[in-house]
Amino acid sequence: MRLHLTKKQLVILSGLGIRFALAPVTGHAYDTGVFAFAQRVYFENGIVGLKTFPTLPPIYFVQLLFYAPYAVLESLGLHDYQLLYHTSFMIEAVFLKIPYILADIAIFVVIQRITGRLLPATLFFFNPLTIYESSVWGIYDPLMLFAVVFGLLLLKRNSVLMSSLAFSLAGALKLFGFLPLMFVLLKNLITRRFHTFGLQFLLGTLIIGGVVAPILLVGGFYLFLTGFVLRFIGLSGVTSGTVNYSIVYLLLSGQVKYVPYPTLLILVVVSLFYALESRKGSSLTVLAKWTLIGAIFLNIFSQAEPQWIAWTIPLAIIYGSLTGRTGLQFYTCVYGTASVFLQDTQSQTGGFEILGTKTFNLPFIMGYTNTLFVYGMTTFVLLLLMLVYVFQRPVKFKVEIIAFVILAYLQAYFWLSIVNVPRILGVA
Amino acid sequence: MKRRYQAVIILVVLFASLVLVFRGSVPQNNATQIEGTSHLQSIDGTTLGPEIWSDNLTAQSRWQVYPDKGTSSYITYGSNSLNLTAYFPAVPYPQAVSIYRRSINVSLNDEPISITIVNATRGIHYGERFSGLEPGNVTFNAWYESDSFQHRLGQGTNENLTTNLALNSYLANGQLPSTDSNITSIKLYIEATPGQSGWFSLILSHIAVLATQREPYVNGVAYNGLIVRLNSAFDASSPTDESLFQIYAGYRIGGTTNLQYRLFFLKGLHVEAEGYVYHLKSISDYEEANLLPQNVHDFPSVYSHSNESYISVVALQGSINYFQLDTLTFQFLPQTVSVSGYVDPNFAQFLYSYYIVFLFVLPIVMTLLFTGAFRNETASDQETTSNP
Repeated sequence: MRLHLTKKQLVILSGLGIRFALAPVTGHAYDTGVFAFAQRVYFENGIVGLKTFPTLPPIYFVQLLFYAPYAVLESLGLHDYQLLYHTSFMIEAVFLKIPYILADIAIFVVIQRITGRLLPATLFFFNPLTIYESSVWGIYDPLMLFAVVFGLLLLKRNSVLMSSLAFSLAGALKLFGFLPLMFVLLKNLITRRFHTFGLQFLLGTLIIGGVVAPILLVGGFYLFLTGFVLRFIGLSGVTSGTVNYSIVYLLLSGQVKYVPYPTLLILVVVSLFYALESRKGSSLTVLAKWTLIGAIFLNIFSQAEPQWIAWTIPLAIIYGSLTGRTGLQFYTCVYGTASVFLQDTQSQTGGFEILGTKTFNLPFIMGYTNTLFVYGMTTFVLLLLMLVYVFQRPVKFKVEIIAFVILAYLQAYFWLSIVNVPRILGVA
Repeated sequence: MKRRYQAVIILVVLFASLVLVFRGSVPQNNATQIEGTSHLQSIDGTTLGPEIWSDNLTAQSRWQVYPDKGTSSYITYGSNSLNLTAYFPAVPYPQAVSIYRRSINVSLNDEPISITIVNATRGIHYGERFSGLEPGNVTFNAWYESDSFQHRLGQGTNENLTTNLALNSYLANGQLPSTDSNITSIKLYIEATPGQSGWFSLILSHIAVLATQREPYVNGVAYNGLIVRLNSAFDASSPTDESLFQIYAGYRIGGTTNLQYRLFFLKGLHVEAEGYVYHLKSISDYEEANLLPQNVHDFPSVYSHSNESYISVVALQGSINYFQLDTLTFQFLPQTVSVSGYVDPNFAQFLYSYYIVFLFVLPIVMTLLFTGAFRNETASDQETTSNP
């Protein structure tokens, strides 16, 4: 018997196979614990844990939907297993990650529809960083990214209002999603399309209202505002103890603290440049470009949580495909592979996702002095390279870039860990 | 296409129904949440209490000098101040000159706080050490080598050294000295690094010990710490077969503009979870603190001896004059975040290899294969391939 598959189905099945092979045996110990806890107290004790759920409510509801079949299996007597020190059970981990794995497939389909080709979509689908976020870490960023790229697809089809709805939903899943909405609102404002602006603004407001309403209902508004919104825009009350992953903050912590609200500043600057360029270029291309640049800048000039690194991948692939930048599209593979290596060995210290504990350190690449500085600097170089690919005229991908990235990592390792420049500067 | 959308809608409706039907009905018990605010017993504030010991620093004071061999030193007294002057010759090893004040008697039961004002010559190092006796004449130290009052670099200006003596004893010895233990001696020293020579001085202008006063919390009083006590029903409701995963605390807080503080959760003298360091925000007085067991690295200066559960709010800098607890949620899981634990090395190696193959090797190989296959595709290419 021969099974006939289209190329597209073959790609999806291969990617799914990889994801489902990783999902049950891996997980970010803390984040998976948080999500598993929220679902367990709902299905076991009937407690709606929205008040202390550490992110936006739509994520909670999405998780509830996909966790429900697992709750049914548990009710029918399923005995699940806990692997080593992971905070979730193995089958439970799969159910927690299914929405993000499905979001990966959806992004794949949308990229293929925007670009009209399978290659760019495949570059996204097999990117180690996208696999890592959805199937290893179990973080919800792919949901937001799906809404963003779907918004871009709707924009391509001239469905401006529906694309605004998609961007609003993206923002409801993760605040970064509001960036493209802000751009389209700005464009309508400066081109004096006040009617469309009004409708889009109303949609955005309704979505924000819909997001905040459940939190108001359970009485956790101030917790949400303080623990989520203010933290995202750089107004957190935490003085020390939490980690910042940006090399700018790591090396210049003393100076940067005098810059008021850097995240908001970045958003304003990027919006201004978008407004200038949107007058001449195609809506879709300019929007993809400046959303991508916004993501890069947020990664450089804010707390730069490691999962944010993946925001750039689908945007870079779409922008690269729309403008003939094959170099940029292929660079996302190097970028994603290097980022996962860095996150595994330095920011998350490896064994955490694999074993659930930090007991084992691989020699030379884990647990050395100033790992976070090396992570921050190499990530900074990776982001700068992407920025160069965005602004540079279209070029083909050269294998030398891989050597350059490895050299950047080794240089960072030498100067920041072995020579210990942070100690000389008095920041470590 | 229409059928696909219909299938998605049917699935969403089906799953949403399951969410409603199975709420609270799964028989397993793998998570527990306790609302701490419903177990709140009382809030106490701690302030500096009355002075229980001080030295007027006159010639009648019983300070004695202990110089290292080869150094010269003497004490003079000014207007309520003591001036230790010492000469260090250039030698290739460190040297010190110390002054002792013995036969003082400060009970640790009062949770004493010592306040010392010293001025050491710029460039010389100095420090302060307290020692005592437990019942039965067992000696103990209320200092340790890495505490912030050892080997300090003189700045040539007055510096205030405030020490929680009971806490320092705990940190130095890993346990609190027995009840009725006393601080019996104080030592101040200046020390020269190898090769450092010349005349240096240490001027002691104030030294006193104050008791810690604990009183029920009242708005507007300047506290250096708070103890938020939970009643015994909280301990009774805590699961025995699960471990603390994390605590969320939401509260309003006010204080001096330089206030920096940290929250701890303790059972008696055992720190169960620790939060980050927070400061006051200009935009809102509401704060959310996350306390995690894997974050425990410190011991709070405000604690309770009794075997109760409580949140300790410690002002590391400045003082707290307003605190209103809004949310206190305790979350328990069967297995919480474990920073270290035994894993069979062979199994760990197998998992690492599995991980590398599925996360790096296969995706990269697939990318290369499909790149080759799709290199010449056109936008409308929907070619069918076969797979055995």
